[in-house]
Amino acid sequence: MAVAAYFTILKIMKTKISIYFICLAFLSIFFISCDSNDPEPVSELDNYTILAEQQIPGTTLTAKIYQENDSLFVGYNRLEIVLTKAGVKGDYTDAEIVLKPMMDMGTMKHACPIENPVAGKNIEGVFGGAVVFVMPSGDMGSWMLTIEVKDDETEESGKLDLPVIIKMPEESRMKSFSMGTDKYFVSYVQPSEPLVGINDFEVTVHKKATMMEWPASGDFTISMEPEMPDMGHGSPNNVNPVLTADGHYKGKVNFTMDGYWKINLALTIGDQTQAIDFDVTF
Amino acid sequence: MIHMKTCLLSLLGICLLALPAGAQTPFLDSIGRPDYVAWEYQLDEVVVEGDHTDMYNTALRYYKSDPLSSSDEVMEKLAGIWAIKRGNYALEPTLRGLSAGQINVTIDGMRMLGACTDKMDPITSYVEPNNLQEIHARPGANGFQSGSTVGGSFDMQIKRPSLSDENPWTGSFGSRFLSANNGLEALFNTSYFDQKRLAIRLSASYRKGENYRAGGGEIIDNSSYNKVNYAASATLLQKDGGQINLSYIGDNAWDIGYPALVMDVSSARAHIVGLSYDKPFHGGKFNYLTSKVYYNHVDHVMDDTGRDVVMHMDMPGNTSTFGAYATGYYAFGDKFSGEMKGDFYHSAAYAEMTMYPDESSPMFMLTWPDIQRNVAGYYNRTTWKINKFSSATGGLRLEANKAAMKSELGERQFSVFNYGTPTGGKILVNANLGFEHIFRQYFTARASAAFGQRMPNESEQFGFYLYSAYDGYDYVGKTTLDPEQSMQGEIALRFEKDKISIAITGFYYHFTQYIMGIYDPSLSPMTIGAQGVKVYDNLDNAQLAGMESQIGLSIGRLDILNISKAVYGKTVDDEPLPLIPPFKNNLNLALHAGTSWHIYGEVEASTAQRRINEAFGESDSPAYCIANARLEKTFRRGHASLRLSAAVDNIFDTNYFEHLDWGNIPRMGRNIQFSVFVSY
Repeated sequence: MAVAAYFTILKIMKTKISIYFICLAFLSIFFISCDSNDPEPVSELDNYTILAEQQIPGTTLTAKIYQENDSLFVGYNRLEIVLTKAGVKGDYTDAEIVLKPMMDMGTMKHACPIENPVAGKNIEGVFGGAVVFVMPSGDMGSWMLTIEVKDDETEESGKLDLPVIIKMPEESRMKSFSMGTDKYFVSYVQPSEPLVGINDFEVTVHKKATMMEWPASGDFTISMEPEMPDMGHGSPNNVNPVLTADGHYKGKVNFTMDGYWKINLALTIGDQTQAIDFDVTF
Repeated sequence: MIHMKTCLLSLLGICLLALPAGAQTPFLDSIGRPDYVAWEYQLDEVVVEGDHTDMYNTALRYYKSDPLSSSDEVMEKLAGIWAIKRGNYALEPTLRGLSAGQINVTIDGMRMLGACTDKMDPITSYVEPNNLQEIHARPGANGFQSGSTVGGSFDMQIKRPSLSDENPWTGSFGSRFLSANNGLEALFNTSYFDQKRLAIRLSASYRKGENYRAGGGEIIDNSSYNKVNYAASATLLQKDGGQINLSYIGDNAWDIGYPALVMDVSSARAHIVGLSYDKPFHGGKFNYLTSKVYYNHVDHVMDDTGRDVVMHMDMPGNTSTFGAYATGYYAFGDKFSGEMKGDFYHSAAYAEMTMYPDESSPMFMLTWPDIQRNVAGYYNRTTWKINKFSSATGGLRLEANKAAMKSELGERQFSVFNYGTPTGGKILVNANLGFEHIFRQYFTARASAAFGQRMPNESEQFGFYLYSAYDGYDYVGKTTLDPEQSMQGEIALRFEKDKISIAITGFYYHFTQYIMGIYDPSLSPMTIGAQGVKVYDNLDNAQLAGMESQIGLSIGRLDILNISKAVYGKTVDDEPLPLIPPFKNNLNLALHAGTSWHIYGEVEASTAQRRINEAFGESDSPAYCIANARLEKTFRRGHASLRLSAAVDNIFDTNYFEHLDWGNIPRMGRNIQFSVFVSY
């Protein structure tokens, strides 16, 4: 009885006025969404600054050296080097490149940690390497970055001497400390463009063995805690950096908002712990 | 102590008065009447029509129907409704202890979202009794006409132009002064009907208050406000009986203080537009259609420049909602009648926060990261009149409801919590079944059962570090929340005979997936000085039980109305459910001398609340009792009347607060009011 009544009512409504139709129309508007994200391909090097573009004396090679930032600074500087060879089309990778940075302080000289460029490390066909400058250029002395290149095909080799100006960044990107008899240098690598959300976090640790030898150190256990000093709060679910290779430690740092953050790190070997921090503002 | 005596005397009074049930007079027609399980409150300014058939509304008029009262004053008095107070402005309604996303607050059936992440602007604050026709409160899962719910609905019906065929021009204007906050209020409204096709109504209200004086003399800083509300409504009558109505309400409030919060509000603005079409049908099974399309927008700006703060913050927010609905009423023979409704709305909510530390760069985050919601629903209610004494009613609502964050920054903000895939669209089901029987003409019993579901609201699902000054915690939404569900049972008994009307309702709600903020010790609070962070989560279950009663008596020239309400709640761990108000009683007396002199008295009392959830951050609230009185004199000439009234609220200058008041800030002390009201 009730059911029959109900259907009759529906019928009446359909003919008389289309309420029912309106209801259906409302329902059909639901769950409509469209996403259109077509990222345009961009070459990663477009965002880099050219440090130098020179022919390598004694070879038929030309090197185009890119730096990640506008200027070189105290800390971890990623360098990308594109080699081209006269008569060979495209990028040339059959070569070896060695980086030799040197600080001349008049009475003494010292080098700094380096990661010699390897073809295809970050970008296909491009030699990716890094220099960790440990002090700025200035009254104390000046930096010379020597790049030695050997063409494996022809066995020819040559070098470039590039005088470079190393700046002290506004927010320190390298911290050093002594532990026992050793002096360590911790450099901030990532996030280079911090964003709210989950960020890859990466630091390198190097040890000063001699004035000329600055090997990577994989001996540390690192714990990390970001905080917003102005508010006194942190963020959840960070992942402590762990050693991946060559003194690189990788983890995840989470930022809940824009602003000034301090990333606190505690580096431990055995029973000795050193606390350092990096400031990040975005 | 004096107020304790007052309370005892008042209770004694009502006991004595409850005894006789004398001669025949028309009766209390409107206690919880017309609509199924709904309470309908007529707020129209019944400017003393002489007889007091509608005693409940006469009592309401004590405060409630006074167009000069604020909507806060109105709703606080109603059965089953408590108000959450954060300042001397914009109280938030709770139905049987349920609020915010658990209930649907609508204006003329229109969905609308307050634009403040700290709930400073419940949408009840954007209308004025000056443009309110009625309030329909339908507590519990039965109130799902305008949306899926577990807690019920609260609909404020807007006034339309008068279609009086006696007088083309009608209207009123008035003003009120309040001593406790040097408050000044003024309003006017006017309605014109060309006696053929067109009717227009214009109205405006202005309110301002300074910092108020609490009981005992303390001045509550940051409790001032200023507000202007303006409305226009035009009705076009069709030859076939149809009515097209276009209405607009604008509300503009500024420099509003919130003593319980760390910030004030520099501006809160709303625009509400609705276009409706109504048409009666004759002779068919289908007898009435009402439909509407609407849009509203709210802009809300918080401000801390008046406060001594560690760090300046900006917290603007805005919401927009557009939607439409159409309801058709039908009757099939004498046995079946009901309504069917289709509705849809889209809402968008955005709020951000920028903090300015003295020496480093500004900090920015999205507190409501562009949350967009699409809802479409279908509702049907059918009442079956089984025989002369019995009827059964069944209702069903199916609703598709989907909310999502449209901001990429918001998504990244939430990525740090590792919640996983956010809850997508859901089909929600609400259903109820009720049975009503009339015994011996005077006595009506009704039993109903209902099942309700509701989606988490914007803050519960996507709110980002929203500070609650009630418990001192930052709240973080959880994108993966499930809908809250509730099974409910309700029994209502009513006795009506001659001069007595008694209505008692008892209810029991069993919740599953109950949504509540749970302290998460692994998160550090963002707000300086906050106790910690709570993340919303679905609790296994929670229970709520309670009662309301409304007792009305009419003895000669005296009308008495007593409204009682109580709720009891517990969580799955047998802990008290937080934010549950204690027992509250409002006793109203109205004495009418002829048709021109009226004396009203009210005693409002609340027990202490000691069932508190300490883990939630609640504290005990003491009992209180206050008394109010008003004297009114009306002069008449033809259609026009002049009403003068003098009133004293909180006569004994009691220092008190209610359990749901934030910050335990005392309410207004003795408040002497004078008002003038002219209608024509």
